[in-house]
Formats: sequence, C-alpha cells, structure tokens
Amino acid sequence: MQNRVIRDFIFQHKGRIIVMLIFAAAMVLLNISIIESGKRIIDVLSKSGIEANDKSVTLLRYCSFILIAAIVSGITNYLLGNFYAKYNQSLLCDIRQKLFNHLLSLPQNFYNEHTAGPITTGIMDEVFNIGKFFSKLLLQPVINVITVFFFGFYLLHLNWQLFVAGTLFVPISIIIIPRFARRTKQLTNESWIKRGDMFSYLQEVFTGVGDIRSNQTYLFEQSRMKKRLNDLYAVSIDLENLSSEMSSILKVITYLGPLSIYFFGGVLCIRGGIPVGTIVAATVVLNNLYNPVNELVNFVLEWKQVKVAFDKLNGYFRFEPEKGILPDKKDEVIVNRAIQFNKVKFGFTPEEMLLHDINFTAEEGKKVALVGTSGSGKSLTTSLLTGTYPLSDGVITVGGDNIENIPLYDLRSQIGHVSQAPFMFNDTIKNNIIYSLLRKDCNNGSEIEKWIDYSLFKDIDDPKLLDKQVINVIRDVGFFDDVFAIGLCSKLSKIKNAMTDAEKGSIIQARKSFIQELSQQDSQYIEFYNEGKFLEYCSLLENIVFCPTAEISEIFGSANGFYKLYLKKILAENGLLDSYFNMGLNLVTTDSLLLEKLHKDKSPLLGYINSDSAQVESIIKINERLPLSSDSFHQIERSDPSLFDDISMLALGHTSGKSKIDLITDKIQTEILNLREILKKRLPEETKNRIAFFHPDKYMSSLSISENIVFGNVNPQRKRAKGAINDLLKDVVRKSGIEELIIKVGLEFNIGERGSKLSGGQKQKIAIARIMLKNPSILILDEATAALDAVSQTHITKLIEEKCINKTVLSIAHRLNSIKDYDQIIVFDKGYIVQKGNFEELMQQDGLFKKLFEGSN
Amino acid sequence: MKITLAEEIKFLRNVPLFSKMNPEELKILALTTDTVIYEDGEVIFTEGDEGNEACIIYSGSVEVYRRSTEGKLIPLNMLGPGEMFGELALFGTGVRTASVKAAEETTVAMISKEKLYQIIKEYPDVAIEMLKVQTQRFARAEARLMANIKDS
Repeated sequence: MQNRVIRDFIFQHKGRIIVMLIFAAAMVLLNISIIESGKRIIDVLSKSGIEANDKSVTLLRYCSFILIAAIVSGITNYLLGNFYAKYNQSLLCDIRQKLFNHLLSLPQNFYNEHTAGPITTGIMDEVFNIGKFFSKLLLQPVINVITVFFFGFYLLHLNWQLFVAGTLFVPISIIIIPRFARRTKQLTNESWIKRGDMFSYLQEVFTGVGDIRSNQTYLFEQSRMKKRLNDLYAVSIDLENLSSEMSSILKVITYLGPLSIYFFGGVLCIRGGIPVGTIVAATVVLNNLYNPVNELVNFVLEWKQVKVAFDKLNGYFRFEPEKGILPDKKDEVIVNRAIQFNKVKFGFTPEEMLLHDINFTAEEGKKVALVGTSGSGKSLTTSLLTGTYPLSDGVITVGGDNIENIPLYDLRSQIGHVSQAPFMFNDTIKNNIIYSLLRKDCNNGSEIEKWIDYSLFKDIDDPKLLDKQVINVIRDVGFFDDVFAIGLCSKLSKIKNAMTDAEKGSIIQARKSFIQELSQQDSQYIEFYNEGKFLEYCSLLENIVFCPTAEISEIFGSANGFYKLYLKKILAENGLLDSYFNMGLNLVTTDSLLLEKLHKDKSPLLGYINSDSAQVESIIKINERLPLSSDSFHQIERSDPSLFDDISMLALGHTSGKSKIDLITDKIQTEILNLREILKKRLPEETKNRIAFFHPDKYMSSLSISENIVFGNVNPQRKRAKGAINDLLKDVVRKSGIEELIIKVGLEFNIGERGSKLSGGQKQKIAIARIMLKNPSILILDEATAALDAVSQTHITKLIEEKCINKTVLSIAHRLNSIKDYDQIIVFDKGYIVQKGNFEELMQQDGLFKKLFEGSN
Repeated sequence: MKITLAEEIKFLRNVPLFSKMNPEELKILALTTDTVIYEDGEVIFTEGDEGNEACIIYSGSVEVYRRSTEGKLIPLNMLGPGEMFGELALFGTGVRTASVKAAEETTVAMISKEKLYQIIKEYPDVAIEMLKVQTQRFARAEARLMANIKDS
C-alpha cells in the first residue's frame, strides 16, 4: 500500500486529467485538418481542367478554414497550458505538504539515519521533478499515442506505399531504448546522491562558518567544495552525453523517414501513380509522426530518472510515523508526576546496549540530578522518558502508568525539556518565547497568536494578559534587563506597528521630563536638536534638512537622491552651489596630499585619522578623480558633473564636531540656518509631510527609543557625558512608567536565523522562559544553564526551587556545585548507574561522584 | 569651545616631545589624537588599572597622586599645559603606576598605545624626545631620593 502513496497523489485529480486529454485530442485533430486542407488546395491548384473561378472559391474556402482552425488551436493550446500549470502546481503543493507533515511526525530513529541535506533536496528538487514529469509528461505519451495513431492512419489513408516507406526506420528507435534506459537510471541515482551530499555539506558549512573563520580552514573547505563540484560535474556530463547520444541517433532516423518518402514517392510520382500534393502532405505528416515517436522514447528515459526520485520519496513515506502526537479530543491530565525507571535497557541495535539496568524513582515534586562523565547515558535516559525511542527492555512509568500506554501528546504535554542548544526560529523574542504554546488553531488573533492553546492556562484567555505573563516570565528568568536594553535601541521604522500613537505620546512625555531633569551642569553633555541652532554633531545635510540622515535615506533611497531631487536646486537658487563645492574641494585638497601619502605607504595611521572613516575614504577616492591642475577645478561643474555632485555631497556629509578640519565659519552657520527655513518653504507639501523633522513634540521612527527620549547628540568630548546621560535616561524611564512599553518593543526584536543576533546565554534564557510559560509538571534540564554566567545560573537555580515546588525535576548537570540541595543524585558511568543518594551521602563515599566533584573544583 | 586644527598643531609644536617634528608630521599627530575634556576633580586614570592611553595637556592642570598602604593620598606632581602623562603604562607593565585627576576643567589630547607606537615607528625622533623627558624626570626623582636620605 505504502508504495502507492505518490501514485495516489498523481491520479487524485482525475477530472483535470480527462479534460486535458480531450483538449490534447482536439489539438491533434485540428492539426490534421490543417494539413488535409493544404493538401486539397495543392491538389486543386495543380489539377488541369478546373476553371479559375472554381479554383478561387476552393482556395478561399480552405484558407478561411485554416484561419479558423489556427485560432481555435491557439485557444485550445492556451487552455491546455493553463490546465497543465494548475495540475502541476497543485500536485507539487500536495506532495510537499504531505511529505513535510509526514517527515515532522517521524521518530528520532529516522533522523539518526537521514541527514537534512538529502531530505531538503527530496522536498524541493525531487518533488519538483516528479511534479513536472507527471503533469507534463504523463499526458505526453497519451497525446503522443493519439497523435501517432491519427497521423499513421492518415498517412495510410493517403497512400499505403508511402506509409510503409515512411515508417520503415521507426523500429530502430524502439530497439535501442533499453540500453539507454538502464544507464540513465544508474547515473540519475548517482547524481541524486551527489546532490544530497552537496546540500548536507553546504548546510554544514554555513551553520559552522564561525568555526571555519576561527580555525582558518578556508582553503581546506574550498578544496572540499571543489571535490564535490567535480563529482557532480562528472555525473552531470555523463548524463548529458548519454542524452545527446540518444537524441543524435533519433535525429538521423528522423531524416531517414522523409528521405525514403521522397525516394519512393518520387518514383511513384514519375510513373504517374500519385499527385504531388500527396507527397507534400506525406512529408508534413511524417514530421508530425516522428516527433511524438521521439518524445515517447525520451519519455521512457525521463521515467527512469523520475523513478529514482519516486523510490526515494516512497521510502520516506514507508517510514512509520509516531502515534498519538497530536491532541486527542479528551483533555486528560496526568495527576501524579512520579517517575519510575524499572530495569530499563536500551540500545539502537540488540548487540550494543547503551543503557544497562537503569533503576530509579523520582517522586512527585522531587529534584533529581543526573551526573556522570560525557557519554555515560544521562541525556539518553531523559530522552527515553519522552518516548523518543522504544525501550529494549524494562518499563518506564509516569504517575504509575507505563509510558507506552500514554498517548505521546499527553506525555509530552507534561514534560518540559530545555536542551543545550534550544531551537530558535527567525522571528521575534516574544514569538520565540510563546513557541511552547502554539498547539491549536484557535482561528483568531495574528498569524502566530491564533495558535496559542489558552487551555494551558487556568486564568488567561486574552492576548493582553498573555503579554503580562510573558513579561513576568522574562523577569523571572533574568531576561528583563536584556530585553529592556534591546527595546531602548529599537527603531520603530524597523518594527512597524510596535507602538500606538498614545504610546508614542508617552515617550514624548518622557523626553520632556528628561530635559527638565537635566541640570545646568549636565546640559553641557548634550546638544539638543534645537530649531534655532547650528548642530556641531550633525552633518551639514542634517543641519539643513533638520532631520537624521537615516530618515532622508529611508524616504529618498539615499542622501544623494534627496540632493539631486531637491537640495541641489535650492542651493543653486540661493547662489550657494559653488560655496558647497568649494567646501568639499577644501576637504579634499587640504589633506589629500597627506592622506594620499599615508594611503600610498599603506600606513596604519590612515585608519587612526580622527574623523569619519567614511569621509576619509571618499576624500581619497575623489582625490583620484580630480584633474591634475588646480587651474581646471572651476571647470569641473561642466566637464564632470558627477564629480561636482560628489564633491558637494562630501561637504554636506561633513560633521564639524567629528572632524578636526576647520571648515564651518560663522557665516556658513548662518547660511545653514537660513537654508533650513527656505527648504521648509520650498519643499512640496506632500514631500514635506513624509519627512519627520526634528521637533520636540514628534516621535521619530528613524531614531531609537533612547535617542527619542534623549533627543540630542551626546558630547563625545566629555568623558562623563555618556554614563551620566544613561543613568538619567534610566531614571526618567522608570519614573515615567514606560518600562513595560519599552519591554513590549524589545519583545518585538527579531532574533535572526537560529537566534544569531543573541548571545548563547540570552538564547538559553529564552528557552527557559519558553518552558516556564508552558508550565509542565515534569521538567528536564539538559545542562540548561551551562551557557549562563555564575550570577544568572544561581538566579535560575533559585527560580527553579521557587517556581517548581510541585514539579518533578530531572537535571543533567556538570557544575556539581549547583545541585547540592537536590533530593537525589544519580551517578552514571558507561551506561550503568553506579551511585545514588544525596550530596552528603555521595561525598562520604569514595566513588565516582567524589572524584567528579573534586575534579570540577 | 572647539579647538581648531591649526591651534592644535601650533600647540603641539611647542611641546618639547614633538619639537623635532615637521609641520606635516605634527598634522598627522593632531589628526590622530582625540580631544577630551575633564571636569574639575574628575579622575582621569586610577592607580592599578590597565592603561592604554597617554595624554598631553592642552589647557588646565592635573594632579598626580598615589595611595599609600594606609590609604592616605600622597600627591606626587602637578602637571600643566604641554606636559604628558600616562605614557609609562604604555611602555611598562600596562598598569597605571599612579592616579591622575583634573585640578580644574582640563582639555587633553588623548593618544592610544597603538597609535603612539605607530608614530614612533614612523617618526623615531619622538621616542628620543620622550626618552629625554623621562631621563630628566628620573634624575629629578633620584635627586629627591638622595635629599631624603641625607635629611634622615
């Protein structure tokens, strides 16, 4: 039965297949009728004794018929294509979704034997090939047979001698098929294996790219890639060669058909046996006859290729999925959470046992630690508890019930497992935390939140309360400060809809109290975005437009875009274009000789030059484009307009506070303040409305939350400024009561692929928070705090003691200091339990535990 | 408030340490330093901390002091405009041998260890001048020590 899974998919849209067949037959008939019309026209024209008038009528009649047939054929072709596409794509979706669902439900055993690479190629490439083959090529042979039948019959009807002559060589192609088919299958199989291997390798490399960097194994990895590419190259070339060999033979045969028709038909014609029109029609028919024959041959070869993919996917489907992993109707909860391992043995093969005679009891609400050297079987023991593998012998009970009799869904609902490398998906912090709750489609809420199973909570059924719960949990696991810091640095332009207008208002309010709190002394630390002032720590462009460059880039694509669109014109109108060009020129020429020398000497001092490094870079680049003689500088505007613009942009990018080069005179400052006014008047209303200018009452999405509160540039020259401003900021945030708002924004932070934007400790905290939210009655901690610092670790240990009074905890630990207070410690060695007892008892024994403890201190 | 590059170069020229440098070299030096302002009483370096920067005083003055084993503050030196401090940590163990605090609002040019090393590599005269200053300080300290021994 399992063998037929894929086949079932293919034939499930029977209606569509039949419609497509009808269309295909119609197209063949239309084709034949066009050829027949042509034949009749030629016959009538070449016949003597018919009047010109009659000839014209016949000509007109058949030509109009051909025209109509052509249009109908076009429409049919379009409809057929449409059906093909729909059938193909829905077939792909069906197979991929079912395959994916099936793969997800497979037990760990499957994944111990199969790597991700071949599975991925399976879902993507191989399903694609199967879909393509069965939607397009499944019909192809049927159409081809219909075509061969019709055209063969038509040719026979035209003239039986020509039929024999034309089809004389067809059998050759049938004879050579098996030889090619065998070889094709073999090569395809090889190529799939190579591709799967390549996928696995690429996945491995790109997840481990950090280690490649630190081990500096670039060249080694390059050679490994090269070897794989060479292998794939060899197989692909063999496959291509095989198919071109085949098609070359078919091509020769295709020419032999018309040849024999010309020859025999010509002889018959000379003897006056048949009219010319028949020979013409016969060659056209023959063309239409050979093409489908060739396609049939190709079909057989393609089938051999697809068969390989077919077998592989069927192999996946044949694997038995785990049972009972989805929620049942009844909500049964295990009341008693005691765990008992009774004479448990386990091995992947009967010859090699990994766990021997495991006996222990963890009573309800007790904390049990599993310790031992690496590879002694601790993790394996905990994975047996969650029903990951079938036991070789013995019984595990939870609450007195054999776990084999508890549906896996119910069993796993009760167990929270925090692993060393928890699964993080590319989404927000919040969604990663609530991941443990996404189990039921409740049909309301956002894309993720609608999956929350609220029955897991006793008193929550509302997303708002959920937020509170999440905040409580991150506070519990010591993740609050991290999320708070992330929230403060978040820009709303990156996370849309994270704040309502009222919430933005409360940030503005915080900004106002921040300014109020700032004492006279501290005000030297900061340069506020003051409308009437020139800002030392903003670039000239920011000074003129009076908004951050980030804002300009976001709206106009780049600062350059804004310059070309509006600013250049406005500068020109005010006679300032030359002034900015000269300022830029000044920047380039004042120091270019020096910079160029350092650049030429490759002196590291270049990197130390105290101004924007980006500025230094563009100064060097522009210097290379400058004409040699300074006399011709004034001609640049005409001779090289893009250089002229780049030099002006250099001046506009200049930030006086960041650079030691003196450029900005009082006169320029006054001009800039004027320009600020003029720009606001000159910008079109619609453009102006899109830009968020610095304004004490406006929230700026292109700035972070903390920048929105501080709302000015911190003076980098004053050592005390940064710390003092930060302290004041924290104080103001607390007093304004916007802490939770900032946390809410921080929770919307996207953590990147596999959580790459977070530290190991932060990821671990998310994993623990996730399990705390799930609130299971049994907790398995597989070195869950290993990535945390000592302070956080103590924090989490305490949390477990406080929050898990009623929970049964199994903890795998290497830092033995953290388990002193555990009720029971079980010591593993090479798959055996060698010691059991509490900390004091074990320390008194002269056993492995004492050795481990002394070794770890 | 802002010190211009020209002023900075003029100032550096008058610092004995850099007196042998030509204008272009002085410009590089000026461009590679950071200007930092300290407030009256603000501690710039703390004894025992790791140190990676040296400072040249532009304006204001600083007090150099150590803490005795009993915890008493022992003033060692007052430094004013044109003088350098903090360079010992850059050549020795990397640990500050004394604390420095601003005696008034003080503006300094701060240069990191790697920048200074690079400058010395490219302009060895700087090292010779630094050696001269150090020798003078050392001689002064020795004389003071001898005077103390005589007194007791």
